[in-house]
Amino acid sequence: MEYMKDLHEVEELLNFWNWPANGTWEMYVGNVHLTFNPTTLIMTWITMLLVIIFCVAATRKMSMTRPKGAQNILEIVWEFIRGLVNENMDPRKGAALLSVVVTYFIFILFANLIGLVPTLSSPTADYNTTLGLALCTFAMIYIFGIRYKGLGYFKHYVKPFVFFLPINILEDFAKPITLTFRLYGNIYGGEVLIAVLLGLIGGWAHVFGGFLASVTWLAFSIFVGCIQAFIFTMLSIAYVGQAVADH
Amino acid sequence: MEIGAGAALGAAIAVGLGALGAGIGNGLVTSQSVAGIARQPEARGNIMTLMFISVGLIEALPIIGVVIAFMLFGKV
Repeated sequence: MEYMKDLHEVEELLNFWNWPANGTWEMYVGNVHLTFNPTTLIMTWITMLLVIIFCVAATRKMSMTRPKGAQNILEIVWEFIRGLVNENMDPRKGAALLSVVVTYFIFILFANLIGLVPTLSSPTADYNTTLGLALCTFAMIYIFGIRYKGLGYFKHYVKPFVFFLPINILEDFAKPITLTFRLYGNIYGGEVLIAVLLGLIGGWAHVFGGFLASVTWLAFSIFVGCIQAFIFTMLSIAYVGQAVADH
Repeated sequence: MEIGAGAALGAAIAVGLGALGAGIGNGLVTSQSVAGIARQPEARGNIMTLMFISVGLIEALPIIGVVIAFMLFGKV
């Protein structure tokens, strides 16, 4: 079976734009040596550009009575997420949260779907991106809890009984970790599957960034990308809702 | 046992057991949600939303298993 290629050779072939390999961009902050992954950074910038273009196009010449085009789509997304926020917490407390989670949803949706374009890869296929987003949620849980409950927020560690303390601490750390790995695993798994399918086909299959393998897997990947964006947003709302709930 | 053989076995077991758990879990959730919609068709929107959230939560760890299997597959 000489046409079956190794996974590393396939990844070499898939590097259509010849971006530098992982770890080649370096920076020294004081004594600390940082390395970056150029593919992830460049794709994050491209995704940011697309989100900004979409939102600016949706908010130019806004009309209250006759919205058209991108404004309609943005309003649908906004009202959908606002429904979710109002179900999970007091609407006045959720008003501050709404902008952040709509941004999460639009960014993660665009980030997941851009990896399906034949020569590009998703920024969320790197655990550093998803860890950054999950740490933002982690910070928001504490910020909202302390804002609405003062320092009495930390009493939730010893409810309902004192010996639940280690379990509650573990739960507080499990939230950002599972958020990170759920999104990373789903999107990275989809990309690796494309590479593995290419390794099986062999021959000219790597032309234009693995177009054929992408097409076979495309519908399921679009579905998974949308679902994972929704789940990340929904779980962030649910965690903040738990933090500000009063019984 | 050489590293290649161990890695191949490890990858297959990780994916297999993960898929088993995900399949059983998703089947239970979906069957209960279909029963709930059959009882009360007006609650369809709520129940479908809950179903998608549950499927996403349940699939988290098996997907991590698949990623580990791909990492091992590279060492075969």
